[in-house]
Amino acid sequence: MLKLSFRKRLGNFQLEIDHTITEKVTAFLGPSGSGKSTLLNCISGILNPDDGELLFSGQTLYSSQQKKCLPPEKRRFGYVFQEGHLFPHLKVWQNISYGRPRRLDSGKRIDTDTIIDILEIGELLDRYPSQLSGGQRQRVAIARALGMSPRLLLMDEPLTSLDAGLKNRILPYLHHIKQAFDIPLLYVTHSISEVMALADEAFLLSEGRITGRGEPHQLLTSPSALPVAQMTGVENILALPVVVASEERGVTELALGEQKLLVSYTETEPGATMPIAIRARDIIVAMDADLRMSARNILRGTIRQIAVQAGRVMLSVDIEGHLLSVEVTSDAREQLGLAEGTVCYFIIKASAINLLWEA
Amino acid sequence: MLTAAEVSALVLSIKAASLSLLLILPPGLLVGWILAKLSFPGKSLLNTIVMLPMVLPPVVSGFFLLILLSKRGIIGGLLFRLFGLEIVFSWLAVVLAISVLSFPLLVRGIVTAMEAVNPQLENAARTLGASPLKVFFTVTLPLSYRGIIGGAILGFSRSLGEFGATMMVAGNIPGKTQTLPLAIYNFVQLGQDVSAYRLVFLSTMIAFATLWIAERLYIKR
Repeated sequence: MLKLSFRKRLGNFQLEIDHTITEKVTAFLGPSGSGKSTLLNCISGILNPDDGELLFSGQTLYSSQQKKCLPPEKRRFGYVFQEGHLFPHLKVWQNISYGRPRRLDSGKRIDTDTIIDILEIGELLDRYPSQLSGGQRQRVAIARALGMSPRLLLMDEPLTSLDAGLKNRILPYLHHIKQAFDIPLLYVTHSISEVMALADEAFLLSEGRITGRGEPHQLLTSPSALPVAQMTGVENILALPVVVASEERGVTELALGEQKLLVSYTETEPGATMPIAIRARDIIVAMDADLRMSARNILRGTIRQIAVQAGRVMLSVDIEGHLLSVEVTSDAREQLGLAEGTVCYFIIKASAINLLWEA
Repeated sequence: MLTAAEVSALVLSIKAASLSLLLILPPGLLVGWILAKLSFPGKSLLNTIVMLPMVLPPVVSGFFLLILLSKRGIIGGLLFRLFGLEIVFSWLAVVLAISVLSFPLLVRGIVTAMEAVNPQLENAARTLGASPLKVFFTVTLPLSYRGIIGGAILGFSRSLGEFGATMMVAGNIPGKTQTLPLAIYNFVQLGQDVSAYRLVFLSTMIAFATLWIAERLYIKR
């Protein structure tokens, strides 16, 4: 569907990509500076690659060999920018209808009313962008991109500028869009949970290169995702089988080898695989297991490696064959006499474990 | 009130400045847009050439114009052969002189205003299917019009006050090429102080009003 095979240099940075995108919703995951925006700008035509080619459904968008380059206005790709970039001098309804195609048979045209309904912006139509809240602005930006009946929808971290609460309120809208319109979606983000929630296929982007691709759950729990996950602030990602989910007790039990890991209750079935994320600094090290405390997870493991980076002591811990990163202060390391080979206990609050999972 | 000579100088000035503004606005928008939005080799050279009349002594600009526009000059010669037009020392020379001198001020206002328009908005418009021309008229222009009006007003006031270049190419012919500043100079030379005072007062008022409007347009952004 979308063939990307090009190089783009910007200063010291180089984006190099050679992949074909086939799924309906594709996410590119990478930390800031990994080339996510550059990638979208090249696909949309705002930037031109240095060489290579870009094809969409057989149509050449860019080809250095044929010296061909389709300008952005001829590509008909919707682009939702990170900061929205609504036209400040136009009312919401004018923004939405700015890109409405005049010459397009009605079959391919997306009905504006449907967009307005799905994004619930009917009451905002007569306002100016400056009169909107952050979440409203982002919904209008999505509506504007859909209003042109795009052949492909590009989204550049559309939720990043929003706080966590708003994010969770807009995510369902994106789900609706995925279901309601037959438009392939290309989404870039540095949020693992957004990828998990939306994408059919995910790519890991790091320093301008694709370092992994695959089905999101599998990909993001594989070792190759670790560097990306760490750069986005999560050090530990595991995919563990569900033993039992108990609504009564409010917990879901996951199997970590012979040991058990309790996480907050989610509706699921025994045997299902649940991807979870734990930050290294949310894990506490104890020398004894028989402590009376509220934390539900006390796991036994062996320290395999100790690394000091930028003043942080990172322990690489083996728990039932899974390697976890645990952060401690150098003071704690000395007091407890932590060394490679030390067997100790790792305490994790159930609430510190994030489910990378969408029901 | 004003004498006939004073009125004619005032009317001539305003007419010439208005016509000049109409004349330089389209190329001013084009050059302003090029300088604000494009990057290309030789951009700073273009910028320097456009801005040159702002720092050059007006008499020097006028001298260049005189060479170009005279019957033996490149432009003047062509116009004379084609239309039998003699530009030097005509009313048209006034318009051309003040156009050249006020062009940099106009362009400066336009460049500043257009540079302030977020290029991402223009990119967004492009992805929404707008051609560069449509982007210019629906995004760039509406978002920069205040600054453009400000620049136009400054250019207009510069036109009203132009002295040196006008004197060089258009002379100082009462009723024909004598603009406000030239008339003031004349009246002072002739010792007609009352007339001079009246025109000085008028000039000051016009300058004050235009600057004030321009200032308000800038502040309101």
